[in-house]
Amino acid sequence: MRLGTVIGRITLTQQESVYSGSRLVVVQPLSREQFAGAAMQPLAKGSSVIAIDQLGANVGTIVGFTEGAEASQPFKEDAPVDAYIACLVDRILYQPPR
Amino acid sequence: MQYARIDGSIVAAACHPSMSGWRTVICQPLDAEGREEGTPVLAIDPLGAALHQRVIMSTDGATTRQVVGDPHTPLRNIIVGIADPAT
Repeated sequence: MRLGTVIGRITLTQQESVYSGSRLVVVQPLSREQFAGAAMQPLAKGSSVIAIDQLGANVGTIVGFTEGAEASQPFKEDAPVDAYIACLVDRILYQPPR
Repeated sequence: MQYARIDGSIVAAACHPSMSGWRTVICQPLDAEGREEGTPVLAIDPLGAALHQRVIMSTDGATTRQVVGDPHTPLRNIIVGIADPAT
């Protein structure tokens, strides 16, 4: 699981049946500086990820998302999902050694 | 499995049901000499590793599904060992 900031949402006109009841959000993975609390740059390095969200993350929320096979586990039948929001982060306690 | 160091933890009230109740730690992956490598990732920790302790993190979902006991859990990283300080 990785941390990321929600920077946008996606609305689908047509979708897979398994997506019903969840939303698609655009997540920008956090860099190490942002773990320590640095602000989000408008054009961050690294590619953003489209993730399925069932917890109601809105723009600006820091979320924990999983990728790969584990992202499709929460769905009953086979789901074409490779990024899933597992948690909405309330607090990050990040203290790397000096 | 991945050699890593515990650099902190997170608090997340709203989460997948299989994840609630587990301690979620921030793991900084390390290379063989112990230097930092890449950005930190999150893992659940059944062993209660302390801050800055070196741990072994499994990145295999099947292990996590067995330990958590929920075949539908989205979790993958789990702490499976704590390295001795001597190594």
